[in-house]
Amino acid sequence: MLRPVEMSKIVIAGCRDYTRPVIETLHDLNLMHIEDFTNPEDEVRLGTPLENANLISEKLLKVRSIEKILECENVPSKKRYKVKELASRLESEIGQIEKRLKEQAERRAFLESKIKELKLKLENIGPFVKLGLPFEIYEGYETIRVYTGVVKGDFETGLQKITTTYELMKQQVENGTFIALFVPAEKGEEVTKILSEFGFVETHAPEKKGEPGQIAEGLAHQISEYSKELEYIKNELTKAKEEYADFIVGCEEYLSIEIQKAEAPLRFATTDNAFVIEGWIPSGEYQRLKKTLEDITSGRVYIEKKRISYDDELHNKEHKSNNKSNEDKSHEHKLNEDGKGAVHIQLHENAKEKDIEKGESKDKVNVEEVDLSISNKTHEDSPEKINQKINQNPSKMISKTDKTSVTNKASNKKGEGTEEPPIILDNPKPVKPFEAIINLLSPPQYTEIDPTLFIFVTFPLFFGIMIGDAGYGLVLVIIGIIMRKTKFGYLAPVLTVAGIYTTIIGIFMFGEAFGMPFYNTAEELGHEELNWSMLLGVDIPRSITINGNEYNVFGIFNKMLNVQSTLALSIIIGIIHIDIGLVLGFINERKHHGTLKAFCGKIGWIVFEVGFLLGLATMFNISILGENTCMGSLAFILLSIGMIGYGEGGTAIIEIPGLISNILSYTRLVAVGLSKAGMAIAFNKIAFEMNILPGLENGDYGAVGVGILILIVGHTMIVLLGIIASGLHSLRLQYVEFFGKFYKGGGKNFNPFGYARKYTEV
Amino acid sequence: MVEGIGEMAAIGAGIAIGLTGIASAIAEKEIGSAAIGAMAENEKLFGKGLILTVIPETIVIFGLVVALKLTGVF
Repeated sequence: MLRPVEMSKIVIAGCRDYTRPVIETLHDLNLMHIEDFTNPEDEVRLGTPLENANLISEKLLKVRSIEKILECENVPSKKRYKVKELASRLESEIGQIEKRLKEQAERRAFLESKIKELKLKLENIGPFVKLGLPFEIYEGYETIRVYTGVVKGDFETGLQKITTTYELMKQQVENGTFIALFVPAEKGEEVTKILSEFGFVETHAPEKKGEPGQIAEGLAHQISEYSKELEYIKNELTKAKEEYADFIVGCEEYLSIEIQKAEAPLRFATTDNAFVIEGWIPSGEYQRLKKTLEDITSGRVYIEKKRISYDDELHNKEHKSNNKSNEDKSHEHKLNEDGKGAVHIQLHENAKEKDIEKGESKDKVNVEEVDLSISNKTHEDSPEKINQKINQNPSKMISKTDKTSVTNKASNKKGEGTEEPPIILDNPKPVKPFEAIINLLSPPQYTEIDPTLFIFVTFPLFFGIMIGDAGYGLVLVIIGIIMRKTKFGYLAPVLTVAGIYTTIIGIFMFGEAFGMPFYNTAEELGHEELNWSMLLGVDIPRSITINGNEYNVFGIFNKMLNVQSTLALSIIIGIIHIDIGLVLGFINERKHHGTLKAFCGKIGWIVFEVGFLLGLATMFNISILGENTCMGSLAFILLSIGMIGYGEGGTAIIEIPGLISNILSYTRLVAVGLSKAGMAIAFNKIAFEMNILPGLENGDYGAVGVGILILIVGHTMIVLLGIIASGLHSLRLQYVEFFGKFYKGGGKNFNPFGYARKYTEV
Repeated sequence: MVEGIGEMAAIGAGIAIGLTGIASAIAEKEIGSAAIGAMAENEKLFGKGLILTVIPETIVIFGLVVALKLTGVF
C-alpha cells in the first residue's frame, strides 16, 4: 500500500525461430514492460522487424487514410470484430474501398478548392460590377494611368491640386471607397503618393475583357454547379461512413496491434541465432509469464529474473547483499560485483532436458530459471571454469559467444547498478482514484514511499475544511456522481469523497449550509442574522447536553466569529501534516544517507518546531516548563540547528524561516473558507432580506422569483469557484508543504507490451 | 471583528497584507506565465509548475503574520 508493486527484472533469451511465438505470447499477456535495447556492439545488434511488417504497415497506411477520409478517427464503435473475420475481410475489401473513397475524396478536395477559388474571384469582381464598366476600359493606354482599388477618406482635394484632368468613379464598399481613377501618365508618381497617404490598396482588374456583370453571373452559376456536386459527394461519403466506420475502426485497431508486434524486435538485442528481451514484470506475475512462455515454446526459451527489493541501491555502485529476496537458493547464480563481468550460470541438470538436448541441433535453447543474486562474496566459480562447463555442453547453448555476450549485454546496460524499475502504484480500490494526484506531479521512485494513502486522508480533509458547508458538500457529491460517466470520470471519486468530507465538516465543525448557520445566531451576535432556524421556523439546536455539560456538536466553530480558534486549529493541522511528511522523509532518506544522518536531517525539524512552540508559549506567558520555558525553547532550537546542520548540511539552516512559512501556509484552510462564506452571506442577504422575505410579505411574487434566481446563480458560482480554489489550494498544500519534506518523484510509469482491445477480439 | 485596536494598527495591518500581496502577485505572475508556457510544451509539468509558481507566497504569509500581530490576534 505504501510501496509500489514489487518488480522483477527479467531477461528472456531464445532462438530466433521462436521470436514470433514469444512476441505473440508477451503481447497477449500484456504483463511485461520491455526496455528498449540501446547500445548495439559487434555481434549483438538491434533486431529487425518480423517479415510481414512491411505488408502490415502498408495496410495500416491505407486504413488510416480511409479513416481520415471518413473522419472516423475518434468515433467510438460499438461493434466487436473477430480478428479472423477482420483479417479476411481486410484482404478482400480494403483495396476496393480505398480506391472508391480515394477517388471521391480527391474529387471532394478538388471541388472544395475550386469553389474557394471561384468565390475569391467573384469577390474581386464585385466592385467592378458595381462600377459597371467593361474590363477593356481599364487597360491598354499609353498616356493614361489607371488606378483601381480601395482607398480610405477623401483624397480628391489633394488630387485636384496635382491635376484637374482626371476621371474618377467611386463606389462605397465595406472597408472604404472603391475607386477607378484615370489620370495622365506623367502625373502618375504624385498621384501614387497622394493615394498611398489615404491607405490605397490596389486591386487589379481580374479579367482582360468582358462585361463584369456577365462574368460574375457565369462565376455564380459555376459555383452553384460545383456546390451541387460537392453536396452529392459529401452525401456519398457520409453513407460510406455509416457503412464502413465500424469496420475501419476495427481494422485500425487490429493492424495497430499487428504492427506493434511486428516491430517489437526493434527493441530486442539479437545475434545471428538468438534474441534477448529485457524488461520488467510485477514479481507476482513471474510464474504465470514463465509458464505460458514455456508452454508455447515447449520449454525452449531461457528466462532469467531478479527481484528488485525496495532497499536496493538503484543506480549506485554499492551493491548490497540481497539474499532475502531470493526465492530459490538452489539455483545459485552470481552477478559480478562491478556488473561488468560475465553472468555466471550454473546449469541446472535436468534429465528431461538432457534428452531433448541430445537430439537437438545447436540452435535449440535450454530452459532455465535463474535467480541472480548480487553478492559481495567471492565467486565460487571463476569465469574460466564456467566457460569450460559451457564448452563441455555445447549443445545446451545457442552458441558460446551468443550466450555470454548476449546475457552480458542484457545485464550490463547502464554499466553499473540496476536501473530504476517502472512503477505500478499499489493501493486499495477506494484509494486508487487519488493516484491521479500523484501522477499529476510524477510517480514516486521505486525506493520511495507511495504517499497516496496520506493524500486519500488529507486532500479531501483540507478541501472539506476550506469549503466547510453541508449544502455545498451535498452538491459536490451529486456533481461527483454525475461526473462518473464523463471523460473526467477518473476524478469523480475524488470529488465525491471530497464532497462527503465537506458535508460532514459542514454539519459538525461549522454547522452551516449554503452560507447560513443551522442554529440561531441572535444570542451570539446581539442582533438577528439569517440562519436556517429562523427561515424554517424550527429551532435547530447547536449543542447537546451530556451530564449537564453543554457541547456544541452542530457548529463547533462559527465560521465568521471564531476565526482565532480556527486559525489556531489550522496551524495545528499544518504542524501534524508537516511532521508526517518529515517522518516519511526520514524513512526515505534512511536508505540513502544512513539512519543517523536521516534522523538528524528530518527529525531535527520536528525538534525545531517544539522549540518554536515553546518560544511562542513564552510570548503568551504560558508556562509549560515553569520558569524554564524560555531556556527550554532556546535549547531545543539550538539542538535542532545542530541536528539539521549535521543531517542536511549548513545551507539547510537558512531554510528555517521556510518551515515557519510552511506551517503558516495552512492558515489558508481558514482564509479560503472565509472568502467563500463571505460571498455566500452576501448573496443570501441580497436574495432573502431584499427580495424573497419582503416579496412574500407583500405578495410580490416577482421579487421572490428574482431572489430565487440570485440564489441559484450566486451559489452555483460559489460552488464552481469553491471546487477550483479549494482544489488548487489543497493540492498545493500537498505538493509544496507535504511533498517538499520527503518526495522526490521522477519514477517512470509501467507501460506493458500489449494492447487493451476495444473493437476486436481474438 | 477584533475590537479595541488602534486605527493606525488596523491601517498598518491592511498595508502589510496589501503590499505583500501585490509583491507575491508580481512574482507569481512571472513564474506562472513561464510555467504555463512550459505546460503548453509538456502537460506533465503541471505539478512542478504549480510548486514553482506558489513559492513567492511566502512573502504574503509573512505579511499575514505581521498583520495578525498588529491586530492583536497574537
